[in-house]
Amino acid sequence: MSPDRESLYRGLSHAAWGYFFLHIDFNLGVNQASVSILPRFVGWLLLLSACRKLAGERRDLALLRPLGWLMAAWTGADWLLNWVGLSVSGHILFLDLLISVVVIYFHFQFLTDMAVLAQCFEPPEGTLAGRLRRRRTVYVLVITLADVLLYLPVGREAELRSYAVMGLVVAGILAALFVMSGLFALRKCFRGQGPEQAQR
Amino acid sequence: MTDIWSFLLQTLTASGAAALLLCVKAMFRDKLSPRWQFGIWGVLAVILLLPAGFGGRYVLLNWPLWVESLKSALTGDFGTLTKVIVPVPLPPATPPGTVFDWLFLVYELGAAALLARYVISYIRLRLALRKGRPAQNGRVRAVAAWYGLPACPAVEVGGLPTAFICGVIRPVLALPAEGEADDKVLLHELLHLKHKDVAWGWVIAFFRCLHWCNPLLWLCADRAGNDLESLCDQRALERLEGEERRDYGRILLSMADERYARTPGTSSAANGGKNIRRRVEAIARFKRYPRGMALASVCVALVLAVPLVAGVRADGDCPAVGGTDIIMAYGRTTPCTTYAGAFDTYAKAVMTQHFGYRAMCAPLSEQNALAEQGWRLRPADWRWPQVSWKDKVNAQAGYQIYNLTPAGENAYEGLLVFELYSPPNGEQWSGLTAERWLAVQWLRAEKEEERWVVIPQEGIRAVPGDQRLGSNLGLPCRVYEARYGDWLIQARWQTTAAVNSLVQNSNGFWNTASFDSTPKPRAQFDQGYDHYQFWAVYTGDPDKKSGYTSISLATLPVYGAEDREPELIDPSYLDTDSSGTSNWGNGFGNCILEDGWEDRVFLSGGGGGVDWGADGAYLAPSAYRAILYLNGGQAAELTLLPVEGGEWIEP
Repeated sequence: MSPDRESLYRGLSHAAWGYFFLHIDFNLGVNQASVSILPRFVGWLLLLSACRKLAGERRDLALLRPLGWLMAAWTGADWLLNWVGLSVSGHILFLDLLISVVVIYFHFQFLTDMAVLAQCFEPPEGTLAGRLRRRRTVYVLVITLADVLLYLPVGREAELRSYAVMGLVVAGILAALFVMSGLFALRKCFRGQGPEQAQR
Repeated sequence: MTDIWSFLLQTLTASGAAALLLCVKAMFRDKLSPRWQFGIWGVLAVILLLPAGFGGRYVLLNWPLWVESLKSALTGDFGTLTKVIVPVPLPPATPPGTVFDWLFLVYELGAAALLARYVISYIRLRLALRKGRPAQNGRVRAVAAWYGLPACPAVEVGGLPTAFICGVIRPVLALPAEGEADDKVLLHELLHLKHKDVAWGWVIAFFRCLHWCNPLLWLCADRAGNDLESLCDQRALERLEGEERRDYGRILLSMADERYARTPGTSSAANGGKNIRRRVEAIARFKRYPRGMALASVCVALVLAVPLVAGVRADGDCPAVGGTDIIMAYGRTTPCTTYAGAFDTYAKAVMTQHFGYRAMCAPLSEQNALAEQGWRLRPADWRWPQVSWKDKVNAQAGYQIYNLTPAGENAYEGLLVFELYSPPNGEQWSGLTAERWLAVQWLRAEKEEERWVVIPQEGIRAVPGDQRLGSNLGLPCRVYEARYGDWLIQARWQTTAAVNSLVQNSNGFWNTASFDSTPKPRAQFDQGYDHYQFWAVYTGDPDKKSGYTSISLATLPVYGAEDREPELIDPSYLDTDSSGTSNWGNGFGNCILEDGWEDRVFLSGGGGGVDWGADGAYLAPSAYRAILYLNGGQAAELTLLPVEGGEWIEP
């Protein structure tokens, strides 16, 4: 592979594994605290790395980097506080809402750019770009609905809400797995591709 | 808004939301479309139109708490609750008497003066336009037709720096008499006309008047006005191509130094040099936003709008430290929205002796006295209400509300019961757990506007003798009686209710449950039971007792005008001590009377769950039908009627 293609290939690998770290979690009980062994900030750092490696092809990705750093710092601080049984979220609604909208926009724009990349690099008869767009839409809708449900004031329906949120978490994991598989499929476009196509 | 505090609450609530929106807009300035940039101000508009603190909710920060704390600290008043009924200033009910009343009057005069200024300037402008010369509409109509936009009458007025639309209902396009307005300027104004942007200008001006002394909201009004112009620029640029777009930017730049005198009810492309610079930057970033972008825009807007508009309710975790002002304010601004929540909050106030919890469920008329108590006891010990009891309450055992009964419209009564470790006032205690003391108090919960409050009907009493917190028929019951021959047949019936306050704890190996003493002001009773027992009391000649070998009773509770009879007892049960119940309310109890039997004979007892949310949950049996068996044979059919009119009877 040429250095450019190598960079794109690695960028897409980082993007796919970034989604893995964001959604797949195993916790370790430490002194009554629950600490993740697949921390989310690693996922954000991988997405940031993907933005850097793919920015040559999609300049919009550079605009996402400040948001990515913000998320990496937020989730990193959360992970550190988890060791002493604390969390950064749930204390100041102002900050929680800022973070929620950043997450929604970041994923929307990032996956839109991935779909545009697929459109550029997949064969003309390919369907990957359309699939990535559909998965982006589902993914963004799921995380939005989960946020809205969390912030929706409920009375006696609290139990119903907790079931709905659990359902959305499961849906979010499934959507993330589909997004990962789409990104891995896109990665294949940069392996064994003709040099004339890679120049596009 | 009827006082300075309600205005403060309203304007601070909106300010919090405004600060968040400004932050989000700054983050997404170059990422989301001008449509979103203007549309998101709709969230702020909704917050400005909703009464702040409505239903005990707050937006982002607990503004009601801070406003109430400030009010109490400055005025010493704990007995009123700041409320916003409508989000516009209303005339005060009484002439100003305090400095705060005068401040509110100044605010009202300021709002009225600003509104008057806007209206007068609009009227003057309309009058000036009337004196203008009707313009030849040819060019305006041509531009409108070319871009598929509606047109309106146009007038030429001398001295105008640029064209603008004036009016919502009968709009007029005002054109400068000197020179000819560019087609792109006309396009901009006709787009304002099509989208009725002038009406938004009035809305913004209205909010400026309401919050004239809040610089943050004025900044938002400026930004919203500029976003409206940017949105119109975006719409215009979407209709222009290539060089025309650059011309459009150049025209805007040419207006950057012009005076900016915006009158409500008008729209103009020229809105001041600083704003135009921002718009030119936006034009430089111009792009056609893909349709898919609407998804991100709507999602981001939803996540912001739902919590900002729906707000957050304060929970019952009143701060245990802090000044009396803050603790009392927290109590007042965290209302109990259900009667179960009020009982729960009162019970936990007593058990933890926390006067902040008591403030949550105390009538407003008692808040000043409560605060007085708080001041007096602070800082040595501000606990409430019985300092001498503070080490004697077994808070971990929880509480029960016995005999919950509706007491008129929006009122309920019940007996609060909780455990004591030892007698409170030096009485003797055997040391046996089974003889542990209980504390009891009759309570009444009433609805005071939106809040449920608890009014104690007596002082807290300590009662000895029985450790059972639930199903304790030694506590007050409804008593039913019937007499037959030597026998008095008696039934005792009572209910218990509690809010489930158990929390699960884990130490990594074991899960344990403990009682959470944080009030749940919005809770429903989710633990409810009824309990009953049947007894037979021998009242005849002691010498004739040996004539009885067994006594049995088949029973059936009767509600209202029901006409059912109890089921007969299966003869096979009559030979042994036994009791039982069926799903249909039938029950029976059989007792073999052996030599030396006591005068008071237990026949049967039981109970079941009560769904306090169901219709008729509070209904006590109006009577019990019974079939009495003596010595194995059916002796009489009885009806046990309530004693003392069905009142709760102390043992």
